[in-house]
Amino acid sequence: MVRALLKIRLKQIYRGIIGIGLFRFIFLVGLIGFLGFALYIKSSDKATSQYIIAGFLLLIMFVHFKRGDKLFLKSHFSNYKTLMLAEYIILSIPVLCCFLIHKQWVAISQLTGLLIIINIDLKARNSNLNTKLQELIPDDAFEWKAGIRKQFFIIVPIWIITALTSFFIGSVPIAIFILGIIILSFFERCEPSQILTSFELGATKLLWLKIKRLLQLFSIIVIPLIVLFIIFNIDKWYIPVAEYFIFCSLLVYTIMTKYAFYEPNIKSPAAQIYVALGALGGIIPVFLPVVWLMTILFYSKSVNKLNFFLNDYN
Amino acid sequence: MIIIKNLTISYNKYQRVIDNLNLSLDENLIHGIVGLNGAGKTTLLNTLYGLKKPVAGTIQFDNKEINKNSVAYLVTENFFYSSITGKEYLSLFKNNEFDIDRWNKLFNLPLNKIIDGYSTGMKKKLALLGVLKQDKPLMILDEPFNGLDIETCRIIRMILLRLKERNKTIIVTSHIIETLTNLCDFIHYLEAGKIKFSRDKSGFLEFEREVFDKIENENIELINELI
Repeated sequence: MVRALLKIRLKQIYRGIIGIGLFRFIFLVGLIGFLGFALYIKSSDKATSQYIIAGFLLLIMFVHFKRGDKLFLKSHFSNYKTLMLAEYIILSIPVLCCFLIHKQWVAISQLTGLLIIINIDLKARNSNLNTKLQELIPDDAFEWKAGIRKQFFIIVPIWIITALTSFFIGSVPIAIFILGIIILSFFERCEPSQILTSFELGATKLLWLKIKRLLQLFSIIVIPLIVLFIIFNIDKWYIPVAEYFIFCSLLVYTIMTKYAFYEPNIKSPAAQIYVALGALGGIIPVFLPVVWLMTILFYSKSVNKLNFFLNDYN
Repeated sequence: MIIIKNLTISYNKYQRVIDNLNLSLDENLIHGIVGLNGAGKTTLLNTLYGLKKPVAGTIQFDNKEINKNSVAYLVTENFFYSSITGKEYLSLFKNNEFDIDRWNKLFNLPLNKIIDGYSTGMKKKLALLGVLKQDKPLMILDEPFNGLDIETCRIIRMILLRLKERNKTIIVTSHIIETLTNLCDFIHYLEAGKIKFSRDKSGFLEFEREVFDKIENENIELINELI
């Protein structure tokens, strides 16, 4: 059974690779190679290997918590825990090899944590949170309503703590970065075509509405924090302002990428990779001109893509 | 009137899902489209709405090319955006005269809860409310009775009959012939990408017998061999 399941996984990976295309596959191989090299170098240090194993187990726990096939495995296979363990062990091979080479026996022994993870049976609960915040968001900004509902208990505490600690120079810039990344995730999934047509707008008008809403709502969240930062650190006013403009660029880029690769009801792998590449612009500002250029390119691609669904509203 | 002329639809160059289909549908009536799995019903409806481009042919509604502005479409499998409530979903459709709370008395949906926790039937009812809210002259409903209980099926039937009286044109598909014979003014039988025959109310009994006889004759020998 384990062999059959792993065979299916291999086929899924193969089809995934075919799906993302050669260019992105090469990029992905490069990225994995780089991460593998970094893992090899860093795992030589005893203290760092502890962080690596903690990070790895957290990652596996996250995968275990999010995987959608648990009910299927439970209802069809009596040894479903063995199946999951086998998958996690295969995933841990690179880490295990690095630890073996550097003789990190303590870290290797901690991999037994996988046995605990497979026995954790948590279910993701749907949050029915309805606050005043959702009511204040315009009806057409459904991504924001959904995103704020999902991330309410992260966004609100971050915002309050940042406001209270805005006199620290790092507080507001770090919060803008975290909030910006969280908001980027609101636009991961493409909406069903009924939602797209419900606006009864042409492609261009819809895109501009999305951009307008994005800038309005992002500004409402971030500008009060920037003002607080400037009150306490007036000489460094340009730091959060620059960050605000960088994230505005990134968010507009994300919307363009989403609709350039729009397919109803899916999370487009291509869009996700482009957004991840664009997010580098938030960390390494040299990439920003590339993000701007790609935004322009993806704008016309988005209009073309959306025109198929919305041409009757032009 | 909806006039479909020489409509051909295919997903690849070797196989035509809809093959040179011609059909005229009178306005302000309920039209049923019946066909076995894979006959091309959903493809035809997707094309009517404009979600699939035909290889050839034209579709006209009121002597103009069919336009999404005048059509509301209920798809077979309803997808909803994750983490939004039923009310938020309905608020996306613009119609200020539509009283969501009063309409919901018919369906009893927990509209303030997020859709992710709804059952299949509840999702279908919500999608139907969305279609009703759009209040378009042409309604295309692909399997509207799937996954619904008897009470809701009856309520929907009542709503559709009332909408017909209010001059709406409705196109419905269903796998269950009885739901269509109880509702439609015309039934069109789709087979291998073509409308094989159409019947009005007076011919529904004959139509049912014809379809069931055909299915039974095609399969009786194999079933006799197997059981």
